Amino acid sequence: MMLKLQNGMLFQIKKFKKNKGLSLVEALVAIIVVGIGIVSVLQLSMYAVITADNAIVKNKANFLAEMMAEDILADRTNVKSYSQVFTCNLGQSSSQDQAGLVKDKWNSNFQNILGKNNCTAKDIKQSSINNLDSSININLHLSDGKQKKYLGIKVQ
Amino acid sequence: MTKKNYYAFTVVEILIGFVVGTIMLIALYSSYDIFTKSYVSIIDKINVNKALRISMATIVKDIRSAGYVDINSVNYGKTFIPLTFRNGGNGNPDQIDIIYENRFRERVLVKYFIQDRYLMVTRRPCANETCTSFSGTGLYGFENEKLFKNIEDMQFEFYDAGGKKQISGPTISTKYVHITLIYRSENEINKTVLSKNFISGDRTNLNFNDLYYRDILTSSVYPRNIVKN
Repeated sequence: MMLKLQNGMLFQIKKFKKNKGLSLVEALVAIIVVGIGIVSVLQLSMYAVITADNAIVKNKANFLAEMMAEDILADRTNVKSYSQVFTCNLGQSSSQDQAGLVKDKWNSNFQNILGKNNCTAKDIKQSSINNLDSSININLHLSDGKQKKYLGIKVQ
Repeated sequence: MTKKNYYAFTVVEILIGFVVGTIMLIALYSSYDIFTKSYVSIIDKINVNKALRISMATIVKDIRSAGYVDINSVNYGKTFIPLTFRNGGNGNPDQIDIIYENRFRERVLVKYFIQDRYLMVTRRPCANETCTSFSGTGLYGFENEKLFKNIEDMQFEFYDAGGKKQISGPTISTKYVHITLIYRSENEINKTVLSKNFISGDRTNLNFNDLYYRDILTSSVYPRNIVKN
């Protein structure tokens, strides 16, 4: 506060501070920045959902691989008959022996559990047998080839 | 008298502030709502998957151990069928009883069945070799324990050495057992009604039309103690 003498009288002079607020543009920019933050956090949430789904598919692949291994173990004298590549729309085979019936069962289980419509060309479901030592390689690529599961077992 | 010059918000500024604030609140609430729903959805899905995984692993382990060879009897272990199967038919889940040797001369009967949407398990230590009488729950026995909630179906299929399905249940020639489990989520987490058809054992048209998330898991098990190669 200042006092000023004018015409023999004292006047009080107030110095007003120029309070600058946020302009509308600044506020809008702030909203956009916060919005970008919210969107990125929401994307994190979506990523968590996708990760959970991938984990579920991996778990199913584990059990399907175990199913294949157990079925082959139950017929260990006939291991060489279990070599097979499964495509998305593979039909049932006409073979009525144990290996043929088991492979049909695998095929229907792949389609039942993993969803026939979700199968793509990059998805691989394959059991390959090494004729030299009867070792079995189970190879599952799921979720458009992104989820991979390899299982190798030796029967004898 | 001097006129004082007060600086304040104008009505327009206040209104713009309200609008901006409201937009922010709506955005925050929406993101919170999405987060909560997504959290519930993930937890429910994980719980369904966990229930499938653990119950399948438990049942597989017990069926894999089924049977025993009695060292005091040449023929006993070869003719005894350690699996008792109760077929629920096309409308109901199946039940199974499994007998195996926990450790030397210590046999147990394990029962798996569904009651009030729970997967139930009973484990009884046998009082005799054939498991026709029981010695109370003991240290490792229990009656009607709830294993997991929200189970929809449990199916067992038995196959012989030729890969043919044994319609009437397990025999001494049972080569492998195929297990199917279906669980449902605790909450309705699907946004739209999805008609999903499951092939579950002999229940070929298991169809659900609601907002619950369901998942299916199958596995095979080779009961090593009753199958001799």
